[in-house]
Amino acid sequence: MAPVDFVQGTLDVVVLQAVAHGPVHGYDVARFIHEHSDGTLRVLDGALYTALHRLEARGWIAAEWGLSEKGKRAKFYRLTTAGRRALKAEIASWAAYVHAMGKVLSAKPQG
Amino acid sequence: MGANWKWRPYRRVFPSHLDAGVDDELRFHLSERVEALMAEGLSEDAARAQALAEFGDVHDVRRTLVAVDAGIERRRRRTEWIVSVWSDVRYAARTLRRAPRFTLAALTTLGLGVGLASMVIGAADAVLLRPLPYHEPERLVSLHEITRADSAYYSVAFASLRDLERQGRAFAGLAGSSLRARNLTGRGQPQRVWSDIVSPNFFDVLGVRPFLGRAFRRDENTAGRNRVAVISYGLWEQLGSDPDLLGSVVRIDDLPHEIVGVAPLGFQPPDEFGRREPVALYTPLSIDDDSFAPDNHGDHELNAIARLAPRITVAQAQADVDRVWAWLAKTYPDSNRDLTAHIRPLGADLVHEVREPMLVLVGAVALLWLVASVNLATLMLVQFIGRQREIAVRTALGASRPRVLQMLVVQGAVVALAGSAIGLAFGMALIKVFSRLVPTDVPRAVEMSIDWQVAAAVIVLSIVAGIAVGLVPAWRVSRAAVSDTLRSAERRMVSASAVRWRSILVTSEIALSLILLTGCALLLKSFVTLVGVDLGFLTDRVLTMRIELPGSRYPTADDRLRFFEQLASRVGALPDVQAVAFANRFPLRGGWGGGMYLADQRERMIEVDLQAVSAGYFATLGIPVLRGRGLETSDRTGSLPVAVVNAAFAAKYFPDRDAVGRHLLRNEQEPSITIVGVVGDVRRAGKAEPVAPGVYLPAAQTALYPVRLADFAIRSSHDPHALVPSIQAAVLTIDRELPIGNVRTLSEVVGDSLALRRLQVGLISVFAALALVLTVVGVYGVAACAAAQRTVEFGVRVALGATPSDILRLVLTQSAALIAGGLVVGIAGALAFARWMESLLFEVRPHDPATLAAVSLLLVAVAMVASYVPARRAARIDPADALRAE
Repeated sequence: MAPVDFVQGTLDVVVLQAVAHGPVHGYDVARFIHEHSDGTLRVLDGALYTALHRLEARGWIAAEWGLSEKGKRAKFYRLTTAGRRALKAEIASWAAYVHAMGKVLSAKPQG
Repeated sequence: MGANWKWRPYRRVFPSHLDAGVDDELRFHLSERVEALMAEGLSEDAARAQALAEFGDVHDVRRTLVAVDAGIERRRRRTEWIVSVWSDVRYAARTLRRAPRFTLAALTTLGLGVGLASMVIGAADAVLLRPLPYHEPERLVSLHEITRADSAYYSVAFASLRDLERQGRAFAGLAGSSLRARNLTGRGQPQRVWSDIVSPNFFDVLGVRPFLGRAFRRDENTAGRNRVAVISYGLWEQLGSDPDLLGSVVRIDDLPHEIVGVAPLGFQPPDEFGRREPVALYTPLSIDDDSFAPDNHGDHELNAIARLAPRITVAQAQADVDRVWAWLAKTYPDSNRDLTAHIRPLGADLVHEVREPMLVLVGAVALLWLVASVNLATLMLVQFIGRQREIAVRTALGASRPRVLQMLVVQGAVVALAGSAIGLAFGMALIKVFSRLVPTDVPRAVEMSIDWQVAAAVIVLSIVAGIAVGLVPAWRVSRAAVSDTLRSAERRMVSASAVRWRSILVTSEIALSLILLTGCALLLKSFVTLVGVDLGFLTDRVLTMRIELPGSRYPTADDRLRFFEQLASRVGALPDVQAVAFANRFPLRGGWGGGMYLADQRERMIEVDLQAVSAGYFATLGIPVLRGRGLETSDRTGSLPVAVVNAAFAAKYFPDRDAVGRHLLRNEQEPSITIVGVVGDVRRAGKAEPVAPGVYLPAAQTALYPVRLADFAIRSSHDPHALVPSIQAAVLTIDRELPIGNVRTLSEVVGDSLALRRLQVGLISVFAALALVLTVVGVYGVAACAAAQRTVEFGVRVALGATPSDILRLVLTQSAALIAGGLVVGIAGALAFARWMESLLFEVRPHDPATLAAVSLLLVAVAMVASYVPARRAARIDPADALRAE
């Protein structure tokens, strides 16, 4: 499958999902997205950082400085309670969307 | 790595730690990526190129991140600040709970100051500032006629108003109105109500639309067509709030009137302002109603209002009025020779008599508020000094000075907020009492309230004052060096600057109190002088009343005379009635002035107070006959025209001759009038008014005077009010349709005329007393504090041989210096304040030295006593104890 660009507004959901499982730094977030989409979702790393900081400003994720597994100083992100709630809602609405799309696209037009 | 990024310029815009954070984060990302790519086998250069390519525009991303982070940082700081203020608020609340004496004193001081201030400001706002409830009230003016000789204000003659309507050019509309009590029957219980008889365009001039129905039509001003009425909203409610009331007929003074409209809720005509009884109905003024003498320019019966034409100023309108009155003076010299007219903005006119008393009250309460604030400042200073050690500990533990300042300022604000909330609640209760206490001639008293604007202003001012008075001591206290305070904490050492600051506060408190006390004393002295003024006539047990005889049944002066003579003989026969009299007006109930000539000086017209009175007038009022005789019942039309003059007249025009036997002329054609007696002077217009030369003409010589007989009076041996039913019965046996109105004893009238002054003096006395108490507390506090601070020094002095009286003298000298300083400033302020309120003083000069001396002495004595108590305690010190305290 050829790589596709992010649909407007969907990057935030992916970033929230990437930080959902505990403090991760920006580089981890980028790797997570590349690996789990098998390279299909194409995004510049810079855009990920912009999304991270904007989500922080919105209060959905919190950031603090820590040490990476290799012992380097890095900024770690985690979901806040508000972020977790937002992510849940986004996932549910995505699932509904995908389900509806699948149903429509697998149906055969009649007449 | 990334050394060539061009981001330096942004360092100036954002705090460097934000830049550094973003840079560290991006650097970490890129280095991780480069490492990973190199692990996959790329060369370092290729890896870096790919990492940058995957990243995008580093410069652009970085700029965005720094901006987003700056926003996060701003919000974080704001939250932090709010949290710190909130914790200060809770801390202040705890501190205040732990210091109940301070809290009680501070809240009482502020509550009193704010309560009284909000009451007075709310009252002044209602009376002086709120716009009149009419359309474009600033375009409305009132019109009065004034006499050239003594500038007395009169209502406007109906005829003159109509001439102005025809000839004036500056007005969009002119209307007159006249209040009258009338009988309302034919619907519900018969009742006596106040009515306003108004020009048909009255509502149009005010720009007020009826709530229901219509106002009057232009042509409803003739005897046949004026049987229509607009009723007040209150009367409409009282009659059942029934829309079908429109078109129904009620009887007003026994004549059927159709109700055509209902005035809006809360509507008051301008002549109702300053009255307690509401006006219940309006009927159109008829051009052929005899009681308004449509062709007589000498009867001043109407309260006149006008709306200025567009773009016309008050000055231009005045010029227009001057032109018309000049024409009137030429055309009707008999009545208008000495009259001009004056227009005033309606709002100012309605309050012109209470404006100054209200402003002086505002000034007085402002002074009290200042004293209270200063007192609060001294309380706070003491409280802060008591906490100096705690503050030093905080500072030592790392609290910055702004942080400590914030804590103390927040405490000031909390005290101010709590105090002003208590004060406002107090003020709201007070203003209800106040609006009931103010005399009926204060306009809009019923509207007095503390509205949200006044409340907001008072709260904001209190908080600003609270912060301001908290800030200075807080600044002083927070400045004290940590180590010094901690080391000397046991000694409770108070910094010298704090004592200096307290001294300044107490000095200003004394000065402010002196100003307030002086104003109070001057008003009190005026009031006592005024109450003591002899009116020159009896007021006790003299009951006066108004009986308006309708022109339809009493067309001539002789008809009216006959009615009153009959009434006098009937009422005079009642038990307990000692004397009866009638006149055009009795003293304190209006009057009549006019021109006369002395028979031997015909070229010079003199302006005198003229009254037409019955023979019993002088006996009823107890006015002594000084020379010659009084008026007799035999002085009638057909006998010799006679007059009695007052002592002031005799002294002014016949200073070296006997006035009795001299002759007067009303105007040149009429017969000469012989002066037959001289009577004592009276103050017709009230205690504060001067005595004018006066001439009394016999009521039975009707050709001598143009005014109507309308006032009737009795003097009784007991409570005269008990006689009212018998008098009314006597009136009804002569004429079944005559009401009597305005029934009051002269002492009631005198009491009412002093009511506003009495209230004002009472209030200012309360303010001054409170200021005095606060000052005593302040002086006591500062003396006690200063004495405590010098305990060790006194101990040493006593140990070295100083006697207790030496110590006493030492402390008192310090207090005396403060008091003297306050006195000097206060006297200067008091002189300025007294000059400002000069117009309210009665026969007392604003710089009255006796008053100033008395007030200063009082203040000095009280302040010295207040500082003597702590001084004596200091003087009794045991040197061993004092030194052990070291």
